[in-house]
Amino acid sequence: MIVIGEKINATRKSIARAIASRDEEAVAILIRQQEEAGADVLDLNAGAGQEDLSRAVEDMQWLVGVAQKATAKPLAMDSEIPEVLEAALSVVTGPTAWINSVSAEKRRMESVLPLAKKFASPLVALCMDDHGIPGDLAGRMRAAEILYRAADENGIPFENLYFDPLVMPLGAQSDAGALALSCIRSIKENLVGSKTVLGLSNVSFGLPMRPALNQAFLILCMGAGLDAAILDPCDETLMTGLLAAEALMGKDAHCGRFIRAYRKQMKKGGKP
Amino acid sequence: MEELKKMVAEGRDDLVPDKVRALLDQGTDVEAVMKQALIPAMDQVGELFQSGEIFLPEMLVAAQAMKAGMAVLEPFIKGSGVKPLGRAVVGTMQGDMHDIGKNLVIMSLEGAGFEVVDLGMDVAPEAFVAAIQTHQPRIVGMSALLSSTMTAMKKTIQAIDDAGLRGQVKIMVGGAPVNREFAKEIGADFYGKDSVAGKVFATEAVQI
Repeated sequence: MIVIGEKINATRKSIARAIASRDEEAVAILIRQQEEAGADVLDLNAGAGQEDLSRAVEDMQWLVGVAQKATAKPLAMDSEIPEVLEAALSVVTGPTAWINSVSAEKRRMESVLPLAKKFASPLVALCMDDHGIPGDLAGRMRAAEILYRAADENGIPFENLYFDPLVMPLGAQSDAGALALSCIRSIKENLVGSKTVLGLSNVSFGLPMRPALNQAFLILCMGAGLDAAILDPCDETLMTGLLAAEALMGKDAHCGRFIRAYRKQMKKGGKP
Repeated sequence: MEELKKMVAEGRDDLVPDKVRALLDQGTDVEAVMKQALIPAMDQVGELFQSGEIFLPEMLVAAQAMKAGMAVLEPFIKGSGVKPLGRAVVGTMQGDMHDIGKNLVIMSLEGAGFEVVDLGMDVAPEAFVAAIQTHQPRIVGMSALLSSTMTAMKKTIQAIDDAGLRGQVKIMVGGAPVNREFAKEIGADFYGKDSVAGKVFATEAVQI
């Protein structure tokens, strides 16, 4: 299971401030914390509605620079603007970076798929098209199939395609969880060779006991075949659930990672 | 009345229409049903949601119950001369496909007695301008969840200004990446941290 740490995102007001004031340490601390907590990839989103493109590019490149000093892990370039993605990818000195994201919207496929090819990036592919987010499984799969074919035409290997079924808040749509789960299963079954990823925390918006919901959902998704998740690795409930599920699925030899996580929590004086 | 209020707050859209009909049959005034039951029920629900005592699905079913009640009242309202509190045009910015925040705002506004024109998601600046020309609202609500669509807010306000309509509307903005400073910077009249704040602003704005 690939854990993509979500915390460096300018939607969060503290991050927007850190970027605006070029506060390297604030960003570096959060990156190290996420890595320490088990992040395999660090998502970077610098977009705070910058007025002009050059500013957006500058902000993102600064963020990439800071991140590369703080971690040797791969980064995920999170932007809707292709120029920002390209600028970010072109200053990568470490391991191959991810692109977050493309969708089956024509304009985005045309601009982002060539970048994924050029930089050999793993690519988060949202199951939505020019008409928005389809409300049912068939619609999401149609969007995924368009992306699958387009990726192939652009010479992108399927194993670099991470489909995100896009989960809606369960509180607003009672079948949102079930829909995402069937979407994961259907992608694994029909779009052979490709992978799945999910932004997790949206599912619990507006509901109580969010950590419990997020954890249960993550585990169900893993059972359905999820390969990667965009989440807060500092959420201990979530990460404990993830490690437990991996062990139970036979993906943790001698329960090594699970036991190590327990010892780490004990050492910190936390409850196991 | 108290019973109806409770039914709305509990989201009983199966019971609300009959209760409204029964009250009307007993001679209760249409306006009284609105102002003493439906609207206060949604006010209460909004406050409970804001304070974390009830949750999104509970708020949504209450809004459905309110709508079911309003549907019964609709034909009577048309004939009775009861005026809505005001008219509002609300939408999510161009490029943004998130509508829950917007829908919560619409619910709060409708709950307060506004007539709301829902423009949906991914709304182009020109569509906002056209809707203002067509519907002549006093309130315009804009929602953005993505940092990348915040710029669309600025463009939309600019478009409204360019069309010469800025003076006739009060613009309120909201959404996760938005804050008060940003709202001020782009020339909005109000930043609402949640749907209740938006409702309070809109209600005050139409009463000035």
